[in-house]
Amino acid sequence: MKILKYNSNIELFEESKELKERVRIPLSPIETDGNIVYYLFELLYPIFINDQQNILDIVISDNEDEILKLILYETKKAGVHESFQILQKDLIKIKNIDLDNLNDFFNVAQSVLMKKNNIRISSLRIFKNKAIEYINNFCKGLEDLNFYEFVQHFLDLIHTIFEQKIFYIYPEPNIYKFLKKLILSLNGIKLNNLFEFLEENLAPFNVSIILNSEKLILILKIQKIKSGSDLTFKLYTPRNLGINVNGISKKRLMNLIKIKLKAEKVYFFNQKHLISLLSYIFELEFPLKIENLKFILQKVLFGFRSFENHWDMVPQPKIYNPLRRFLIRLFGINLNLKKISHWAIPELIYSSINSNFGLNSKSLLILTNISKYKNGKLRELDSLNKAFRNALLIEIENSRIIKIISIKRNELFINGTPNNLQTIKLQISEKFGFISSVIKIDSLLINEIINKSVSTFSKFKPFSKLKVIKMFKNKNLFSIYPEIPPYKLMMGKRIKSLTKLILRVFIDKHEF
Amino acid sequence: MDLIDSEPVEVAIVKGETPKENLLNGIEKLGGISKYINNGDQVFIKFNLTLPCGFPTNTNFDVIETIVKACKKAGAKKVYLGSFPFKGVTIKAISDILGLKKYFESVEGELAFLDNSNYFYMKGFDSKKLKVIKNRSFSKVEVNNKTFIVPKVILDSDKFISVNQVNVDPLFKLRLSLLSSYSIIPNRFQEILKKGENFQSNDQYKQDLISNIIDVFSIKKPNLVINDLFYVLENAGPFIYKDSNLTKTGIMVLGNDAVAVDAVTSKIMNLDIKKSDLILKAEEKGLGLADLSKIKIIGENIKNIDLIIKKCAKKLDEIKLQNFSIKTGNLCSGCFKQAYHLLNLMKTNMTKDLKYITPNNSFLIGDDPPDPNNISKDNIILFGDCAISSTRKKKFKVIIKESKKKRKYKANKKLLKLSGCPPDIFKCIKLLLNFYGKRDLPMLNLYSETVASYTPEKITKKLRIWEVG
Repeated sequence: MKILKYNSNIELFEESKELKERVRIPLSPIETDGNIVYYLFELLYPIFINDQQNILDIVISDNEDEILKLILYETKKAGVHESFQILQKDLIKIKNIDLDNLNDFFNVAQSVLMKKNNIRISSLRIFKNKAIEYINNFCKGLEDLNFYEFVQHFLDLIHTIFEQKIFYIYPEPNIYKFLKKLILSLNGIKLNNLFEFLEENLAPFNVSIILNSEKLILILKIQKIKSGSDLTFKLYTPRNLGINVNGISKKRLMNLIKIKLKAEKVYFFNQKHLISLLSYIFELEFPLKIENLKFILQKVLFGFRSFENHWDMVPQPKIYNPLRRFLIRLFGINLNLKKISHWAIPELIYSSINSNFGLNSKSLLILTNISKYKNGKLRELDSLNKAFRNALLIEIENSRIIKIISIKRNELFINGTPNNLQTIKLQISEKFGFISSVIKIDSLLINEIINKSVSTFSKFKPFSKLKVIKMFKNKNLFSIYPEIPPYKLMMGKRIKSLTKLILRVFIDKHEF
Repeated sequence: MDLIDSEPVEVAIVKGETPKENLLNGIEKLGGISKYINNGDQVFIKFNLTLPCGFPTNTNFDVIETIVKACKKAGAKKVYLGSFPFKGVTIKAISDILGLKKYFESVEGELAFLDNSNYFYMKGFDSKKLKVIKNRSFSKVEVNNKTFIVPKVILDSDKFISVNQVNVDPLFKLRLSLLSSYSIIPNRFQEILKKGENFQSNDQYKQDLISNIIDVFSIKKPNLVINDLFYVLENAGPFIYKDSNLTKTGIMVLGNDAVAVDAVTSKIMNLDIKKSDLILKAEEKGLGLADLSKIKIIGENIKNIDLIIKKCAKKLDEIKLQNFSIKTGNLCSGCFKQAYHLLNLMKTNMTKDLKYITPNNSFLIGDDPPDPNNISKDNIILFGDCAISSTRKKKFKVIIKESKKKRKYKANKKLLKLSGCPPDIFKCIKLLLNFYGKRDLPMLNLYSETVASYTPEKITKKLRIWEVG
């Protein structure tokens, strides 16, 4: 309600620029300035949901035979909900709503609203009664949740709504199609579990992210103090922090934010670049084509190599210091991240997947966690059973990921049979058809990869980075059965020569 | 002849949801597996086992599992599976990389190491032992005054089944079962040797190859032939290349006569049987029926199926390589096939390298190929003995440096000769790396090192020793 009131008065405030009203971002515990929420809706809604005005929300019974509530939202601009009115529920007379084909229903609703209210709608949002119940439950005590718990609950809500098919939008925006198909292809694997896995593998961090745009600069502060569910998130504008951005340089702004928010690192991105990447991701077709993932990786790597152009950070990463790079180049290691081969790396990964796993394949990915054992050391055979955490069967058909199935522990480890990747491959092949390969990867390694590539990538420690390759060679942390040629190559080569071999592909030769 | 005389030629065309379902349905339509396999039979299943790569380079292993289990159910005493892989690659290497030995054992089959590569890692083999094992595992078979070495396990098997994954092929348009049957003999005996003066102009290579394929096929005709075209690799094949695309047809063709099965497969894949030298020659030799009107076709109606797939490049210059221009002279099928694979391999594994190397590169192939675009600037690659010998007196072979006093003639160092008739692909890769340098070809270098991980020099040497007849 607060945000609706705010939205309806925004024009009055725009001149004075003295906006003090605090509102909560809908469906979240994040409280921030009204103008930030207004800006976010004005910016994101037309891009990701609908760029036309006026929306009709419909609540229907769970068995789809009755309209329970009709709410008309009038919007001056797409996404900026200004006022609402509850309409008579029998305004639209229709026996059954065909939820798989909402075109006819939309036309009926449109003509009724034109006739009775003289208003043209651009979008329908249909909630089954159950969806409203879930949303209401979700909103209970939302203010008391910390950010980690909120994300967990929110992802769970999204998953439930799409899995149970209790929420519809017409016309379907790309983000809706994306989430619907993503959840379907995840085959019961929950989004919040994936988030939990990712969060667990992130080392503690304290960063601020500046999202730059000409209209409104947003500043995020994200912090993870220690391992576990301890994640905080705050959203500011420079004005909130008492910073006047007029005439201020990018570097100065980052340094000021670093001091004000006591952040270890400050990243600078342009909103339009992130929106463009997200738009591209939401346009992905399902089943996911490996080739499309290749293009996304290309975009991400291109962004990564455009340091100081498309993104920036303070403190300045030492890895970009030319003198240091020159010194390690004397040892034959060329680590110029500004020259990372954004097109060759995805191409190599893509052709390697195609030739080694095939255009049709089934691969089993086993995730383990040996860190809970003394010094993370376990005998190779024991490590599988004891340290087992999750297993996913990824089915690819014609280079598209068509199915991801979660495999239970008892399907992998049958009593009396030795627990090695070979027997697992044969057991799973018996049930699901020929399995091309079984890949075992431990959380310690994932943790190390994430931290070396995200958290500590800026540090100048080339030899500690080589540790990741060393970890790949440790069969307790990573192994593949059968041993595909790239794995054989990795195992048979010394770390230095392997690094040189790979870096020549990963980093462009020409400096200028 | 005996098969045609004794049994009607039946071919089943089946369409279904999965390859496994298709196979079982097809066998059922042909009268059940017991019609082909008797109690106590030793069965040999020939399948595609070319490279240690994923599907569809090799046969679909779910299909193999189904056929092995069906044979065992029909009472087969022993089911062997095997084939000779691509030149220079051992069965042991492929088995290790794909985990085949254990997998086949788990479905009650046995991988036959036809090249004896399972002995390669054992120590203490002197020439006597070697000879004993070779004699024990191979037989010499004479066909049309030609001697072929064939593994005894194939000859001794009571029943022979061919399971062929249909993919596009540069020489024969499609890899059908007749072509696939050629890999029951070792690679050395598959090679076509250059004979006579008009070898290249008459495309003697292809004629000899067809003749050899048919001779080999006649040694042991399969009792049951399966052309699996449920998925077909199109555009570039039969191995997975950058331009390859997998298309799903949902169809399988099977029967008791390989020629008939190939003829029906060709028909439904829109190939003119009258233009297929291999099928026509096989029919001419009385090895099977290619006349569709005489074949009893069961299952799907052949008239209702019209599959259009993208064939391989007909000309080498259709394979577009960045910074390369391809100049073709009179070309025989041998060089065409090898160059087709090399160029596709370069396109797949040299994406970065092709941008690195200088923009002017000419790939000259065949007898008397056109001159490079820019004689003084181009890197020139001469592919095959014909291209090397026919350009001996060409201007680009020497560089003339003129000064006021005299003219100096120097050999053109920007020239790479890939000799052979036709050249060997793995050797070509090594020569390319030496010519351009590993720094300029980082991706090809990585690929070459990866290949070397499963074809170490020690093992390829052993393969050559064991292959000698």
